[in-house]
Amino acid sequence: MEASAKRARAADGSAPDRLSALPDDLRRRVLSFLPSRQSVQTTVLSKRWVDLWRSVPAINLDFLEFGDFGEEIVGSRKMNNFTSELLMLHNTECLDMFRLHIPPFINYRRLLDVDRWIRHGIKYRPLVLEISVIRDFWHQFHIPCLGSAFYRLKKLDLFGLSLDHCFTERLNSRCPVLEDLVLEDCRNQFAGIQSDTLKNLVVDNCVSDVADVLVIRAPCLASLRLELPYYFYKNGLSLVAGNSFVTASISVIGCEFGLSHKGQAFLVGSLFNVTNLTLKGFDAMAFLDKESDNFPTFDNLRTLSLTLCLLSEHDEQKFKALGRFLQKSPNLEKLTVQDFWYSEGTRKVREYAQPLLETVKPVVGPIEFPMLENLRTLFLDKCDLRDNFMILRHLLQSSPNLENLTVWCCELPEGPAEGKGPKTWFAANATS
Amino acid sequence: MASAGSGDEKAAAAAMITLISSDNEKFEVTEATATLSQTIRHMIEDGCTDGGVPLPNVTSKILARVIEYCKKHATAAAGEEGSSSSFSDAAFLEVDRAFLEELEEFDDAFLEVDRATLFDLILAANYLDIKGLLNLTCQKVADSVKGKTPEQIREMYNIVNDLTPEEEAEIRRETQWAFE
Repeated sequence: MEASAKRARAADGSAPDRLSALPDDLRRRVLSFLPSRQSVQTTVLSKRWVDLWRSVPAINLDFLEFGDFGEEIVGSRKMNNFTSELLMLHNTECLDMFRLHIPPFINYRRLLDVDRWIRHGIKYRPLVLEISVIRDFWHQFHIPCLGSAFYRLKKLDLFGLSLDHCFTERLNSRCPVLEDLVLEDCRNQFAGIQSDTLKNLVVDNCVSDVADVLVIRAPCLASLRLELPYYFYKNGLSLVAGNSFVTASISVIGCEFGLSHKGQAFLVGSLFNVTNLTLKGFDAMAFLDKESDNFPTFDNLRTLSLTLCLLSEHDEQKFKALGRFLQKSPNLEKLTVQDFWYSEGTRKVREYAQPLLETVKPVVGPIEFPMLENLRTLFLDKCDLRDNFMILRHLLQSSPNLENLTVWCCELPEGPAEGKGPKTWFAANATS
Repeated sequence: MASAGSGDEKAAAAAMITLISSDNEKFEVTEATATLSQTIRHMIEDGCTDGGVPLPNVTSKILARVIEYCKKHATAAAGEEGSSSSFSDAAFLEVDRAFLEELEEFDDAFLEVDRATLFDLILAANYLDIKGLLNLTCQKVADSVKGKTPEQIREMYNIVNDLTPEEEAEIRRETQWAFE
């Protein structure tokens, strides 16, 4: 590297041009992190740069490089012009990445040749394909059934696209090395997701008119993030994963008119072999439903995070549901409870003059609240404990081996409540 | 408990690798740290690491930084087994959030170096074939020129424009679609 530095040293003694001195493949790598428009512009830097952009292993098209909000027509003309020239002159057989991003405020329908660009991008057999377009138009996206375009594809990241009924079959048969799949705000017109190689899957806020259960069969799956939308996938999830399934994050926030308690219980039950689990927006009744009696034990579960969960108007049910779930998690080491009573609308606002702790009196007995022998870390985040100081007491009594307790941004009782907590306790860390 | 501990230590001691910089300084690292470098991984696999691994292209100053990076990221790699893909989207996992944030902070602080060191790190990462470090450092250079005009980039990196005005005008005409 000293030799190349020397070679680049400018004659007049100023600092050497280390950038131009980099070998071609490293300069290509640097350019692959830039938007394509800027990558092409490096052509005028000096002789060493003239042709480099044509062999950069990434194409990165973003409307914002060509126009901003309110510049649809000018921006679209520029982007059309640029992209057709680039795709014609770019000179690589394969790409590491093809990325197309059109922000939601661009009404591009008649202005941009998105379909052709995507077909072009696919032809380069990219390792990573990222397409983000405005969802209102439900632009169709197909995995091609001819040729080997997706044979190298490791990551597919789609936003705002409509995926036809062939998606299930072709994902399985035409993408032999796919590891990461992200579907965000897509319209899923397919029956399910099936892949023998998939490791990480995100299905976020996707709608479907054809299926009310999201079917996932992925024996190598390691992580799943699922956010169910307001109304779709009313019957939840049908999941088949293997032993490598470690982490799941499932949100049903806003689904109160969609997924039933039974569906919620079934969904949580299907995640029984994970090590790390994050649940958001589940109802208390999902854990108290008859269905949850058939819950398998979560033997592998070490880290559990409950956010805006165990929703119920009755605190007693919240306690019971928490206790029920903890009973099924004998090896839990870290528990995070976030926004347990905090968010408005998740419980009735206490009427004036109602005595403190009234709703907590019929608190659960020892049977419902198990001993948490392995719990080392407890994190209460933004929980309203004013009426529910007992939960902390219960958790502390049940966790003989607790090492770390964090109470963060929690509301605590003002008066000397039964729990004898400090009066103002905004955040505290305790180590036993 | 005690016997398990000493067993671990024995295994760790057995898996130490010595790296030798271009200025002959020796660095002892664990195999887990060293094998973040594909180049060294292959040497270990071929059994040619006895007596140390000479790295004639890397100075001790840069090697120390590279090892610092590898140590941090080897711990990270141990924590997320199975995500060998460099495009793995582990970032979305809530439980790893704190850990990933910490790693990101480390990377940001790690990149607070002068430009000469940054380029030395790029060349070292390339030679040692450490994909994560190579992407990190190349991205840093890309970020530094993002949104800049060619003139600004020339000034920033002392790039001497050896194109004649006629040549440059001609190139600009041909690629006018990228400049409008």
